[in-house]
Amino acid sequence: MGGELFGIDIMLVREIIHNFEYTSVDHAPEYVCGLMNLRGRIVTIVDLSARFGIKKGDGKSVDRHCVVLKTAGELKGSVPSETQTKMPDDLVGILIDNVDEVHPVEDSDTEPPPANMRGMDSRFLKSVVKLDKRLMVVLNVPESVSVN
Amino acid sequence: MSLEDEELLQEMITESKEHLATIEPDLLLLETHGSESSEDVINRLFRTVHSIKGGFSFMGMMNIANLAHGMETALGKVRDGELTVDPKLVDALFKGIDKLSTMIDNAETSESLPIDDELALLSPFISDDPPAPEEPVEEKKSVSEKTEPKPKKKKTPDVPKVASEPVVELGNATVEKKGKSGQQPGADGSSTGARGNEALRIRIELLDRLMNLAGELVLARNQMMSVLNQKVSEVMGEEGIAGEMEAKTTQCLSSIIARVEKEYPGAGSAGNGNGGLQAGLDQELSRFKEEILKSFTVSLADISPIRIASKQIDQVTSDIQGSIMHTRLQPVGTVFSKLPRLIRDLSRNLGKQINLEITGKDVEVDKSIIEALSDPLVHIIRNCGDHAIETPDERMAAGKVSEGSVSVNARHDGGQVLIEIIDDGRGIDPDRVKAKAVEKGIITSEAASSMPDSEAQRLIFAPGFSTAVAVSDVSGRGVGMDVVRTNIESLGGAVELESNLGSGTRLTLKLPLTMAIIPSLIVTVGSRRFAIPQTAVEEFTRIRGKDIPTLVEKLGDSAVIRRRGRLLPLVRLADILGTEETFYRDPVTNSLVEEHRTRLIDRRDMEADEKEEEIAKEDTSKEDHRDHIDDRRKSLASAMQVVVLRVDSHRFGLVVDSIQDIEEIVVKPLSRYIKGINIYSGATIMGDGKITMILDPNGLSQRADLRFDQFGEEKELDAKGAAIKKKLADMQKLLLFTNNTKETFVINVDLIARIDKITSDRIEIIGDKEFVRYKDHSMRVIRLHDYLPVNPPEEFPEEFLVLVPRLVRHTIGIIVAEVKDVVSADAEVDKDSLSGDGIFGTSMIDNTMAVFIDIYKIYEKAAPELYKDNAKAERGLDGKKVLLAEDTAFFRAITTKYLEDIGLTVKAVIDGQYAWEELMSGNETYDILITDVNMPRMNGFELTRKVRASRDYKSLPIVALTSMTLERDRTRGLESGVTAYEHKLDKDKLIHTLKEIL
Repeated sequence: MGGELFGIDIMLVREIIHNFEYTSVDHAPEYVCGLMNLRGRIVTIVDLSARFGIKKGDGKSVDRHCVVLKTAGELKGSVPSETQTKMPDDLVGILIDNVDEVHPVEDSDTEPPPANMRGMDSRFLKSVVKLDKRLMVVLNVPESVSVN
Repeated sequence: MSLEDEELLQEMITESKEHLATIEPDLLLLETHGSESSEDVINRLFRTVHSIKGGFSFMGMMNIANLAHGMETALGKVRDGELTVDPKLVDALFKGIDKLSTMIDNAETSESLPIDDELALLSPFISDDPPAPEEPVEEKKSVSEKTEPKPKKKKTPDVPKVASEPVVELGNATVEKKGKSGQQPGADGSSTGARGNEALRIRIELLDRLMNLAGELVLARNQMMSVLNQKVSEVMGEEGIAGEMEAKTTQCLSSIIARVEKEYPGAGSAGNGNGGLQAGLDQELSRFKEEILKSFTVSLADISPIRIASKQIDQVTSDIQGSIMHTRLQPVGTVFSKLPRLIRDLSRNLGKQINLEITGKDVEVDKSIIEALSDPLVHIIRNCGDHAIETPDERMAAGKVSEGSVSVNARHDGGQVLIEIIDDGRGIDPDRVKAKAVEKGIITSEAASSMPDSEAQRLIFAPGFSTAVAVSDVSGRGVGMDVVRTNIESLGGAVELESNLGSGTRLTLKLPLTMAIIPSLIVTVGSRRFAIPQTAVEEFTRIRGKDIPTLVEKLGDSAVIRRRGRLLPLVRLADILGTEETFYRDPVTNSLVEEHRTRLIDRRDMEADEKEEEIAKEDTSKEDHRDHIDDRRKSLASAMQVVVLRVDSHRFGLVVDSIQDIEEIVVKPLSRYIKGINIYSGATIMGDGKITMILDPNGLSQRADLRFDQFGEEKELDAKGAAIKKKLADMQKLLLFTNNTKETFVINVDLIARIDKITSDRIEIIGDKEFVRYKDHSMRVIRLHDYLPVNPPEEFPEEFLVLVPRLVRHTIGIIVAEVKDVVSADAEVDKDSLSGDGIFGTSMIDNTMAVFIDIYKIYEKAAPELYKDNAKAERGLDGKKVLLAEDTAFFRAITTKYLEDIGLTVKAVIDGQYAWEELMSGNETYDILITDVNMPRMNGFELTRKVRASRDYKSLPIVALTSMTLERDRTRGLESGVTAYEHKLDKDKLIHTLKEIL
């Protein structure tokens, strides 16, 4: 997103959707782009760039991608309950610029995020992982998609 | 507790709750009939309590068991004639039941709840039979054998009068007879519901899931149908692939020939060689074309089974949805069953006499609605007993019978369920309510002084309002009528209030049948669609651009129009949404042009300005042209689509870009991110797969900051406003159509049920009559020139329209070539310029002379066998004198004609005040008064009340006429004393009614 590399725990990901349409919702919070129909279920699309203080994606409809997260109900038993209970009850999709790839990450590779990580509020960050050449910021997903 | 025990306990709790539900009505019977009560009732009570005792003592829940035992002992004595029923006993039993039900609700902690008070109340009746501590042990065995048979309580009446173990025997009997005799008539007809058929308990979550899945299925079906239709039209349609292919082939052919001509000049021309190249190519290519088209036909033939299958899926889906919805329906009686007890307690505690009448117990609504209805209903009944119904002394003093009455009745009304709660109590005193509201800071005293009574009465729904002088034991528990209202509205329903000081109150709860699927009106703003629940939509209308300056008024900060004698505030949906730009299509360049001043008021001003500008420039040369364009632009591009929405008793107009259709939509709850936005009540997925937000009218009016108090019904306008008011009052909605001749015809829109598009191959001729075929029936159609002195069309289009009228006895469609417009016009009917049977006259509408047709006369000519004889039979009315009060010239003319046609002598006046003066003058004696409802100076209801109160005319028959037949208005009319209430344009019914009255 916004030229930065972000990581999301794969256990929390339901699916990744490309080239979708959504309906915008007037008077919704700024980070809510709108609602998408995912095979008969409604997904709220959120754009976290404003929240993270990073550059907004170009938002061209032709290559829009979004990571749809599993709901709290779907996650029951598969992730620690403190994460599970904080996840949203309904479907939420995070708008992204592109999908990189799946990186296996050992706990030992992770470091706590530095306090002034690119101006982002540290509550949205879980850890930082050093990949070959780049740094990947692992998101604190429940916090990032929380309603404030 | 083991899992098995847990399940057993749950089962027992469910079962016991069912038992408890039957106990209350039986106890009430016991109370009414005392020792005379039928054996059935007593036996049933005994057995019920007994099985509760048995079950819970088996589980070791001795508190419940002991209390039940106490009650059982007392009931046993009653049954054996050792004890007579007295109020104290019934009270003790009621208290016992309450405690039992509390304990069963909290079974796990029931052991810690004290039961001493209840036992103490019972003790006088069971003193010689102290609770036996060893009993549970003895019970234990018997219970273990009979945990599953459920319907014990409904077993046959001839249970032997043996106190020991009747349940076991019954239990066995039940198993054998299951499904055959699951019910017992109940000596006094009060037996709680029959369950004759085999029944199964299903978990609600499962039903909910099925319901959701059915919803998804509906969505998928809609999507499939829409894709399929699109595909077919892509291939078959005018610009479809097949057509395109043909065109391309032809094009290809000519380019090949051109090419050949160029390369080998002369080779293509005919006569050169044998037959010529062109001819040869022509032949080849047209065969090729045929092949292609054939292959298309084949693939289209393939589509038709798909269509058939999809139709079937469509049907089955609807059925599934319907059936699943049906499984969730429950009779409202389940909520009503609490009420008798409530009224009983209230009457006792407050020293009042209250009779409760319940009707419509069998009306079924969705389970979720039943659940949510329970608390509001209890609260309302409590209010009735506590506040509304007076004490017997007060009632006597007010000249009423000492016993107050409360009636609760449920019925279906269209797609809704209405629950009415009517009392004959003291009614709501608007002045007291106002005083209270001012005191509580809900309204200002200025607002109070100008507030109409009906509005003031609705203040009881304001948050934090309570009219009780003293907070009693009964009401005032922190929930007010505002909670009732909120609850009902959150169900998608509405609450209506009607109260007359001194004579009573009627509260109407309007509820949807089901919450998940609602019919909604689809509207658009810009490129976006929105759904509005149909329950909130009163009507929709279109105001033509050139009428906007005259019809749209400015009041304070709001734009308003006058409709049916009310000021209707207008709100633009685009403004509420904060959509900045609004475009309109320029008719000259056909491009989208941005309109800068988008606010409604500004827009009105803008157009007014333009007019003035035009006048100023009148002498410039190009005016004619410009004038024309402007008019066109105003009527086409800037016409206003207004959806009239109802919020409580208020209405407002929502201005949208277009109004599309009414669709059944599946409501999906809002995600938590947007829940806080009050203008939406949900979202839905449309047939094309796109998501559409469902608008909440209440939220819209809040967001627009509408203050309805300035739009009161009685509010007077300034001089200009008064003129507009008059003008709007005289407006009718008229449908203009033509028949491919020079004539323009006009008919009142209210007379038209629908307009069908028909192709000529659907017309069948039988004898000299024409019929249009529909799927399951056919309808006769007529052509106007066969019955009216008008020109026959020289040609008639292949595809044309059929107007299907309403308000007629036998529907005959009218064939028309083209509908020109629907206009709201202030039509003066000129009866002299053109007349004849079937024609009212002519009228100038939009600079065109239009012929007003009289549909009833046309029918009489077209189908004399159905209509004419009736006309003759009405001759009994000859010479009777009618006084007609009607302020609208058009309706005055029409109604007068209808009445004169059947031999009545009519004196028509233009409002209620004139009618009253005419009656009082005594110049003429009238046999009947026919009055419009909405009129200036004195409306129809006021007139009726005055006439009824007069000495000479109190029994004069009065028929009220209206163009809206709302049930509420009808009730209001009948209450004010009119003899009958009819629709203005329904000639048949009006005449029928007159015949009956005179």
